[in-house]
Formats: sequence, structure tokens, C-alpha cells
Amino acid sequence: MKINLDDPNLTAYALGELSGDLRAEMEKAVLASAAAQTFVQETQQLATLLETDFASELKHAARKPSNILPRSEPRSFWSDNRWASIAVAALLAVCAVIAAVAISGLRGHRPAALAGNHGSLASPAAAATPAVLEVEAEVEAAPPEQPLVALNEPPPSSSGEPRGTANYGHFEENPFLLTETNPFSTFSIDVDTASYANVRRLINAGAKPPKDAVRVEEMINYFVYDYPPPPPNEPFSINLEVASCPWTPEHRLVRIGLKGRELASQARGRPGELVRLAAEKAKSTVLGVGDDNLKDATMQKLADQAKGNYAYLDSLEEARKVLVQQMNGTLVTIAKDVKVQVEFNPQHVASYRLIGYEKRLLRKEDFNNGKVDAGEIGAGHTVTALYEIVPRGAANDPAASVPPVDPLRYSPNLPPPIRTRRPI
Amino acid sequence: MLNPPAAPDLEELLRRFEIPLQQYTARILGDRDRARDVVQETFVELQRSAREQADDAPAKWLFTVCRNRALNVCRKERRLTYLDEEILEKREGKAPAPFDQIEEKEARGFLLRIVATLPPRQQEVIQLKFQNDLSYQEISEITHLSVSHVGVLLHTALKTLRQRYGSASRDFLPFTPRTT
Repeated sequence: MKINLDDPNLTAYALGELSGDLRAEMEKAVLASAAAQTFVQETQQLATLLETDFASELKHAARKPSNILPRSEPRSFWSDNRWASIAVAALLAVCAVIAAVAISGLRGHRPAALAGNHGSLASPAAAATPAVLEVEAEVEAAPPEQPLVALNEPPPSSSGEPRGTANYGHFEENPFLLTETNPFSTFSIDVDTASYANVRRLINAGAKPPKDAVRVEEMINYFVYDYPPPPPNEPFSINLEVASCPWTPEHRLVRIGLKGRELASQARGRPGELVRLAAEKAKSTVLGVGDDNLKDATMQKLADQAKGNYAYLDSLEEARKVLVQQMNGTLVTIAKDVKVQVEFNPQHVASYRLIGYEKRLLRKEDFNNGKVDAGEIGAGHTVTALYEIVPRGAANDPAASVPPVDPLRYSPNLPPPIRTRRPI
Repeated sequence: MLNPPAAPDLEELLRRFEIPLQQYTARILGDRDRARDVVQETFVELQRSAREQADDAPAKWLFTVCRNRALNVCRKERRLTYLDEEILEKREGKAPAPFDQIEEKEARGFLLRIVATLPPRQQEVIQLKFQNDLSYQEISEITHLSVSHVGVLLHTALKTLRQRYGSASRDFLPFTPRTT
């Protein structure tokens, strides 16, 4: 038998991988060919060299401390910078031009109508100086899959705790900010709704909810808004509306609404697919059930770390809403790391405050930083944020009592002087 | 102790496989930290749910699960498309060709630097074979390739290694075991 040195079986023979007839046949052929014998010998020598080098690589690697051998003290699963490298998925920047918010609705206290999706204020002065709303999102196809609990780390549990020990993370309401010094407002989208259900439970029970249990953005986002769906190929639509502020009529209330695209039923896949999704998602959806010793802060943090949603089930009705009606949105994430940055035009907006989202504020630099984690939007989800805006020249400006910052002395990039525009 | 009754087994498996799995996963991901995470998650999965399946052939189970998880990471993070068959077969490894580093060739791991110039899938089977002493059959099950495909990959890889090692060490006898 003429032996072919390019026969993979020859390598297999040299590595002792052959058996039975094939092995016997190959052995005979090798014995008959000097070239084949050299080949086998060289292959075996190379194999020994490789084994030696690979073994020494392992020995070298083993000198580094092991990270998962069981230890007596639990090591936090999250202590690594594990999220930092969540990769840049398709970056998508959606820009919408909004008219400056406080232009003409100013005088007559009438709600300024919005011309529609991505539209501008129905106002003669509107087009002159647009404020810009920029929304950036990382779009991903699959929902995240992360186990919640680490090896050797007991799952957080409230069992054995005394009753009546509910605790809530403390936060301060956002202050009014001067547009001149803080033109950007940046925050992470958050679509949890647990706070609303929890507050409702307390009120139904005749108790006054503690201040820190009331997260306004969750009140606002509890309800489904009737925003139009996004145009095809866009992950979400952006909607704006301006109205006079009910509690301080000279102020304006701006509503910014995002709506994630709906998935067609076939896009959701076969039932089996859905079950798999549900199983994956079950790892990261945090449901609070029962009452009295709800660890609200822990739950919210858990859901954030697992990149999931946090809902509180105070009633069968709420369970139906979360688990049945909103299943699609919770199951299929259409955008993650969603951050919103709003730029206010100082010519029209003297100061503003973001209502709620206290725990979700980001620095303006974080907006374009993919490493900074943010919230997620599920299919069909709506996300709403409200700003209270003080138009320039309004009588009642809470931020005006703050002494102004001295103008920049050295920087060549002085902001343009504020021209005062006469309201039409 | 916190350890459940099965812990001695787990410790044994960790001792045997943790570092090799990290090396293997790191080669797929090109990122040691992520590789450690993947290996950790694999052991968590093992402890939680898969003891019975894994008990027969722990090596096969661990390498398979690590590989799948690493490929998931690739897919999610759009890392070098390890899954793209065409690229996988053709792409040359990232490490620089070692020929200009002949002076350093006495250094340990010289051969591994040449391994790093092979296409990813060849690197993978080489590592499974020579670092982890797995058979063609086991490698085939872990990588979902046929046994004969594994044979071809190893054959080709060894051939290339021989050539490159030979030309990198012309004044050496290529296949004399080194004294280290």
C-alpha cells in the first residue's frame, strides 16, 4: 500500500488514535515507508513538545490566584468589572428636533401642542432655535442571561427577619438647575413599576407610604401611554408634549415619551422559543411578593444588577398585569443601556428639573460612554419622563435664588451671550 | 462550612479543570477576565443542576458547556465571529508570525506562539488534544465536528506547526526535545 503523507489517518496513527483494522493497516504501511516513519516520529516529537509547552502554560497560569475555589468568606459575584466589557452592540443614535419648549405657550398659559412624532411645537417661533433631544441606545437581539447568585453565596433572603422591617433607599428630589450652567440633563431609562404597586398596597391598607418608597418615575411609568409605534427599522419612537404646569402655572411641564417597537407575533418565535426566553428571563426578573418586610432597595438593586425588571405584586390583578399583559415587554429586550440626554436651550429655558429618576442620573459625559450601564427597554414598552421647566422671564424661578457662577475667565469657548427674545 | 455534601467532588473538579478551562476559554474569547467569568458560571451551573449529567464524563461536559458559553459571549458581544464558519477556517491567528523573534525562541512557550498563528479552530483542537489529552472522539463531541473533521484539523495544524517551527529554527534541529 502506497502511503500518502497528507492522509490525516497518518497523524491519527502517530497520536495513537486509531484502533482495529485501520490501525493494523496503517502500521503495515508505515513499516514499508521510510518517509512515513519519519513523519510519525516527527509528529510524536512535536506532540511531546506541545504537551510540554501547554503543561508549562498551565503551571504558569496556576500561579495566579484562583477565583472560584470555595472559600469560607463569600466573594461577591459582581466585584469584578464584569460589565465593563459588555460590548458595543449596534449603536444607534436617534435625534429628534424639538422646538424650544417655552416659547409661545408662555403668555396665554395654554398647553403647547406638539405637531407629532419628532415634531416641533406649533408655534411661530418654534423653528428658530431648536433644542435637541438625543437618545442613544444599544440595541441587542437577545435578552441578557445572567445568573443572579454566585457559587457559595447564599441567595439574598428575608426569611428570619423580624416583621415590619421594610427598608427603602434614601434619595433627595432633583433640584432646579440653571440651563446656562447645566444645559444637559442625562439619565438612564428605567421601566420598573414596583414602587407604584407598593405605594398602592400601603394606601389600600390605610397606611401613609414612607417618603423614600415613592419613586416618582415609577409612578409615571406604571401606566401604559398611547404613544405611536416607531417607524419601521427604528427601535423606538420619541414623543414630546408641553403643557402648563398644574402646580405652578407659569412653569411648563414637558413630557418625553419613548415607545419600543412591538414585535410581530411570528417574530416572537415558536412557543418553545418563548419558553426558553421565559426561562432565561426568569433569572433576572425580580418579583416582590407579600408585605411588611419588603427590602425595596435590595430588590431594585438586584434587578439592576441582573439587568432585569423589578415588579411588586400586591394583588392578583397586578400579577396579571406584570406576568401576562407585559410578558412580551419583559421577555424581549429591544434596547439596552438606554440613556436619555436632553439639551435645553438657555435662550428659552431659564431652569429645569427632572421629576423623579433621582437614582438614575448620569453625568453628561456618560451619555456617549458605552461602558456606563443604563436601563433597558422591552418590546412595546413605553418610557416616560417629565421635566418641570421655568421659561426665561417667568416670575417664579426657584433656581434664580442661587447666586450665579462667575463667568469663565480663561476659556476661549465662552458661551454665546444670551439674547433676550421678545415673546410673540 | 458552607460546602454542600457534594463539595469535595466539586473541589476535585475545580482543581483538575479550572485552569485548563480558563486557558481554553481565554483562547476562544481572547480575554482572560471574561474567560474566568465563563468558567465560574460553568461551575455554578454544574453545581446547581448538572451533577448527574456531568458525573459520567466531567471533562467532556465542562469543556462543552464552557465552549457554548464562550461562544454565547462572542455572539452577544460581537467579538471576532468565532461562529462564522468561513472566517473560522481561513482566518490566521492574531499573534505576529514568530519568524522575526528567533532570538527569543529559547524562551518557554515559543511553540505556543506559533500555535497562536493558526486559524482559531485549529488552535482549539490542538489545545484540547495536547493540553487536555482529549481523544478525537471527545473533541468531536465538544466541538460538534465530526471525528474525521477533527482529524483533518489536527493533521493540518501539525503540518503547519512543523513548517513554521522548522523555518523559525533553521539552525536548530527542529525535533530534538529541548533540555529545559
